[in-house]
Amino acid sequence: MSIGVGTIHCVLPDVLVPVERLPEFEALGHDEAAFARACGIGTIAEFADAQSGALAARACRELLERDPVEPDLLMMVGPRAPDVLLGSDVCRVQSEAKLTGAFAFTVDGLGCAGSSAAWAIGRDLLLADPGRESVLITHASRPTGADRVRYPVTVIGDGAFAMTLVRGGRPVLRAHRMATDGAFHDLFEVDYKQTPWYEWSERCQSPDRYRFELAMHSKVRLRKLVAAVLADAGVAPDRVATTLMQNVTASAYDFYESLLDLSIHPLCKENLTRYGHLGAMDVVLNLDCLLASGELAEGDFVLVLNNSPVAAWAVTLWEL
Amino acid sequence: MNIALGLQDFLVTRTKRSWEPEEDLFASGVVSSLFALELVVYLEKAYGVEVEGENLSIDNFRTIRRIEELVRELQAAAS
Repeated sequence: MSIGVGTIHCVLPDVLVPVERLPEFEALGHDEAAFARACGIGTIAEFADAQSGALAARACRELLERDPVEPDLLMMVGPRAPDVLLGSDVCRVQSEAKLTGAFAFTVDGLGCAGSSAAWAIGRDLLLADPGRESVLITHASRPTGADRVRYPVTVIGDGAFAMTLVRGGRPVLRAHRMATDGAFHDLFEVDYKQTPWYEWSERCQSPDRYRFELAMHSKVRLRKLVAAVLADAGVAPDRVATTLMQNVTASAYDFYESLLDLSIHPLCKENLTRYGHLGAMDVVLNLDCLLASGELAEGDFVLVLNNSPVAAWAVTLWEL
Repeated sequence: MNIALGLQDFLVTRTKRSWEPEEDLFASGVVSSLFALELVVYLEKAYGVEVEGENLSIDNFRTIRRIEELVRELQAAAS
């Protein structure tokens, strides 16, 4: 029995804010402002004052209105900053989405790659127990603190998704590989214990290490993961119809196209320009947009790359 | 091929300026992820080495001199 997508539902705001009109923009340094102007993000999606848990719960409720399933498992990809400490964001989602029959838990510590990891974990949990029928995965993107510009990485937008993995769903999750490297665990951090939340500021320990070491490790890791995923599925590279990845900067698409000799679908860049970086939601939004476009046929293969500066890498092959 | 001269040619082509053997590439601000990728791919193709794991440390790529040393070490290890 194959495992695939049941339904995907993305929640995005009507309000799009030009990057240069962000409240923090005037206070940015020269390099930070130059980066924000040139990173390929024109506007960002904004849900003013929304909490991650509320957004994720809304995405789940709206998905269940479209597709009334009773998921066995509710898996939340952890937000950048939890709404509560000690309490449970995912159990808030369970409560507000009235998912009383589901077991709720969080996948965390993987940054953007968390959604891809959730796909693989969801598939494995369905395969492990024939009694389970569906897994609901959700995530909301909100900035860690008040600031959205993450120099030298990206600019954060708001949004949320919910999606189900079900037996017999399509596209089918044909193959998946992922890897982590703990050496990068502290490349980025926010000192949240010494400062109030509105002063939280992301600190990159070494922009050069980010631009060079992590980029080069991504080169090695993603090449191997792509080769392994295609080998696992018995699919030749020329049978991949298109490739999706997370939306970080416009130059990142060039980097990965050069790196892997794969063509990244232009809708990724369109979503980046319009919404900014939505963290673990990016690849789900891109996959949803691709499926909605109707440009692919049954049997086509879609490769999804995902990585984060944690560092984590994931490659997934979907068959329509 | 002389490694330092080859590297100098590559860097001049890519950055439109010459580089001293001990000059810090990263301090110059020219190193983007794409540039770093091109540099490593150039080394692998030009000198038949494979750069992986701990060898991808930024300090191995900070100067022409250090890159040259890395390539020699990798070639010696492979032979």
